[in-house]
Amino acid sequence: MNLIETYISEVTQRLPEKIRDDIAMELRSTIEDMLPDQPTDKNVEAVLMKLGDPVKLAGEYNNKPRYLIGPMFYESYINVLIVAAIISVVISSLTLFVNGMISFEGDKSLFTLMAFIGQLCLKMLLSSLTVLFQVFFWVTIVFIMLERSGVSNGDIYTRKKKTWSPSDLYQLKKVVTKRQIPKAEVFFSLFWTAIWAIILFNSSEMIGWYEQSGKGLEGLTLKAPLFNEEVLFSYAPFIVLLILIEVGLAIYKFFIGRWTYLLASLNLIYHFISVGLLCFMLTDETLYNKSFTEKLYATVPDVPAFWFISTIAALLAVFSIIDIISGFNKANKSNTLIDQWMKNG
Amino acid sequence: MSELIFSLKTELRRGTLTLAVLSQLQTPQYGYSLAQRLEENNVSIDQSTLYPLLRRLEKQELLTSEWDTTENRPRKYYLLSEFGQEVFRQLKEEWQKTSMQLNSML
Repeated sequence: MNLIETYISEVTQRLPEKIRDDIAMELRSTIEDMLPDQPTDKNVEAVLMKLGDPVKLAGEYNNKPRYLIGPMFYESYINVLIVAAIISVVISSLTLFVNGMISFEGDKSLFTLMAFIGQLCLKMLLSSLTVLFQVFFWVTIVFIMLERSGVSNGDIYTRKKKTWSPSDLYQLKKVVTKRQIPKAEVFFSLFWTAIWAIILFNSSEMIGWYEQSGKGLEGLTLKAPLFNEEVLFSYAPFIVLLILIEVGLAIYKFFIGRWTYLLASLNLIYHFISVGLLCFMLTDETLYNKSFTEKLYATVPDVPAFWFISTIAALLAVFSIIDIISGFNKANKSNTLIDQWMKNG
Repeated sequence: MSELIFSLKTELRRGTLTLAVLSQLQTPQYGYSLAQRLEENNVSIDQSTLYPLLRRLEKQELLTSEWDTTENRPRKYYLLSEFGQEVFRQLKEEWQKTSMQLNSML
């Protein structure tokens, strides 16, 4: 008889408190029903064998899912995981990069700068790995809790998602056309913004007149920065504004994922501001460092500075115009495509 | 191969077990008597599946249960509830329809 009690407690200890006694009582009576009047140990063993592994039996009683994240949440789990991973890696890398560049205090040789950047890239890689583990851990925990909380019985799913109809395909078709903006493009433009901003704000330590005062790359040191730092920083509010617009535009692009007339117009405004600001800055003579210009004229006496600057400005303007036109073009193309689709459909 | 057949068979039978159990609970039954009735009708069901299944059906309000402590051994009796009767009727209909459709194809 002892064997029976042990078996029953093996089952019930794995069950919630409030149903334990009831199930124990039922199991006991069932087992006794299955046994002959004068049971031997062999009989008991045979009956318990019929009931099987107590762990499995308890599992059946508990009826808890044997998975962490079920089919109801699996898809959104994967989606959230991907988006969270991308965003957190980009943000952590950017923060590290910006921080590193701002705090850079080496001697001003190109070599140490390169070495520093290499080191920074390694740091970014390592922090990305850590961040990925964190994201994976927390997202998984949250979804396991969602799964366990019992909301998965279809109510969330059906409440949030409208029932599918073929007209949804038009929505899809819109994005599948040419005007789709690749996510990589958005990230690249964010990265590009970060890089030029960092270089510009640290230009007194990076861009300028380098002279060879030793051997190899290590001997290449910055003698005179290109820009006059004070004047450059007086432009800071406008530059920060430009950065904000650029980042905002990139994020907007990321979320709508395709070219529209609104986006193309915003793109136009952005290009006007950026080209205007750059032209204004480039033609500001006080922006350039005196010692830099002196060194430049000492080396190359007849440098066509004005011609050089206006070429740069013209090039920028041309690139901007190309980008503006291509934006409107893409917005236009996709619109006609959809119109065609709507007519055919 | 045999493992696949086994899992497919289990899947095929899973839904029918509920129907079989419901069909035998027009009159009150306790666990062991129900198991025996099913066995007599050649329905093979693991006892370790049957008893938890009864609990689940009770939780879903298809069954009602009552302890009978008048005899020398206390027994828990299960019986179809009104809701259970209705569910049983519909499931039975569904089963007859499905088996007819399948039989005409097989």
